[in-house]
Amino acid sequence: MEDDSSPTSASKEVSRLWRAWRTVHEMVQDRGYELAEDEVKISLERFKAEYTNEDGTPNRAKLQFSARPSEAMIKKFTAPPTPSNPNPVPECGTIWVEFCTEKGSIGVSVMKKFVTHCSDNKFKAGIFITAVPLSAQARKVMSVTSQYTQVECFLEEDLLVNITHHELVPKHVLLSKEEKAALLKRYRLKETQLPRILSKDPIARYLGLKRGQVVKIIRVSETAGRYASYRLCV
Amino acid sequence: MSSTPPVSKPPKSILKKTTHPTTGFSQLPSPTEQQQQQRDLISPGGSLPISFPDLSSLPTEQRLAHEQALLLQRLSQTELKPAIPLETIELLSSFPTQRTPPALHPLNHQPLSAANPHPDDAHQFLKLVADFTPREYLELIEERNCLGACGYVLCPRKRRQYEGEYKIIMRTGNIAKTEDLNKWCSDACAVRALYVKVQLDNPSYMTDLETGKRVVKVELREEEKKKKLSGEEEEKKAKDKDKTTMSITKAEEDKVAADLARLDLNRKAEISDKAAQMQRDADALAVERGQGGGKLDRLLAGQGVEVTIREKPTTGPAKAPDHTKASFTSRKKNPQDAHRMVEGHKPRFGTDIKSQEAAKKDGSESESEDTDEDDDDINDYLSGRMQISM
Repeated sequence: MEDDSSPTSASKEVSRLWRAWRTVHEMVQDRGYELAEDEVKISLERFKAEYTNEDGTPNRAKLQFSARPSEAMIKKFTAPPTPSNPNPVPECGTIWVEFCTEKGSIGVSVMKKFVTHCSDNKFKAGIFITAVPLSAQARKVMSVTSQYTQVECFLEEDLLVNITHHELVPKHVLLSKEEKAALLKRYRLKETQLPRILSKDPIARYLGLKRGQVVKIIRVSETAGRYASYRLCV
Repeated sequence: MSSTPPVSKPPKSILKKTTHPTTGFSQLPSPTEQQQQQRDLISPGGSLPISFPDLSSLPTEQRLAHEQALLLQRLSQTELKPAIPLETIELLSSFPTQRTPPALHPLNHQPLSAANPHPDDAHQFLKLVADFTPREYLELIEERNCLGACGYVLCPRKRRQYEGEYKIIMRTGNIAKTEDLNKWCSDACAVRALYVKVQLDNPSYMTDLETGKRVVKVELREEEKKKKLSGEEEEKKAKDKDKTTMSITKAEEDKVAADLARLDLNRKAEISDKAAQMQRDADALAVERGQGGGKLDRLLAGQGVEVTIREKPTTGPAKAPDHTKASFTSRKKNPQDAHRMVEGHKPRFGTDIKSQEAAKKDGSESESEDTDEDDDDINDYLSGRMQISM
């Protein structure tokens, strides 16, 4: 039987958390937020030094950070100006990432605390990383508050590996509204005529795709070298 | 029909007899009459309870879209139950409201516990939980467990914290998942909470006295009475333990009678009329099919065809067509044709001169006739006016 206080299980947990920590940084960076390279590529030794207590157990309360969107991301998330709306505001903002300190099951109260923290500090998006699955009602809290704060939840075990680094996963690039309009015009398509991708798809979750966004998928092709296809998030 | 029957002797048709002689289209019921007839069929009383916009004037696509929208609207109103609001779940997860141990029950002055909850808490719990689906009730238990409380809403204690994945229950000798055991503070609370769940699983309905609506009947489990019995009664109890628990006092009897009266059993008894009952059954079936309640839908359909199946009265066993009579009449006119008859019908293959001459005599009339199809030919033949045609 595993004992939490034994040094081996503690170091195991620390290395698991380190991997999740790295993956979530890569994820935030891939979405277009500004992060320094040394923040993303943190070594295990440095992680241990910074985020563990004296007895070697991880300190989850310290595992939290925020990131601002980059110029390119702001540009991508800003709708093209129209006569009625000459100065559109970007749909993205600062993101808040937090690891859940709760060891037991996560209910409505914990989730509400996270959501209010996000909205009080004017974060546009929040990523909550938990060790155990949410309760059904806590999941509902997430969807209820989705209008003002985009809250996403990930399990620690889902972030142990960065799925986009797998050789069978092609490159996914989110299109801006302008690019999407151009694509639909170029191929004379309606939105619904595009192939689709579910918003609960692991890659869609990784990129934080919302309903109606279009993602460009670039695959390697033996004959053509590269092959691009487009999918609409539903 | 293009052929006009002779005035003197109307043709005797072998087709199904209609009440009106077929003199033209004027006899067909006008559209308004048809609607009236449909209405009469739909509601025997003749009165329409639901008014709705007349969709028949719209083009088909618009009408269909409108119908579909109305159907969805009604389904969402009647079929889909709105989810329990988060506030209710939160409120019930913080139950019971009087957690402090010295609080006493206002009536029997015993300390409050899961077995002896505060009447206000119990009343509010029962009132709120009546709207729950079984799934939502399980989610509520999950939510309480997240807060570390016992899954039974009226229990103020913490839940159990067994270690490991499985546990042997010494009382029964079974193996249970600790996950299931850790939901409650004790087995008694598990029984109490699941007693409520069973009532949500198999709901029985009663009318709410305050609002007059139909609600699911939920009640708390009767607690086993720990009364101090007198010596006599104790002896009795020793004899037959089960029967004493079953004995019902007068007050309990009255309570049961009152509850039975409130139970919504008379839903079907109201419908004394058998036809009305059948109509309701058909409507219920239609709703299950997703077509909605019959009346409105049939009216919505507008141009839909009302199909009424009428049994044809049978007088005797079926007979083959009687050709002897027909051949008798034709034999009088041209007896040489008798041998060419097949089941009373003369095939039109081949010619004979006499008939051709007859055709010339009749002139244009016969030509116009011959464009007709078989059924008319038979009629014409039976009236003795069959001519040769090629």
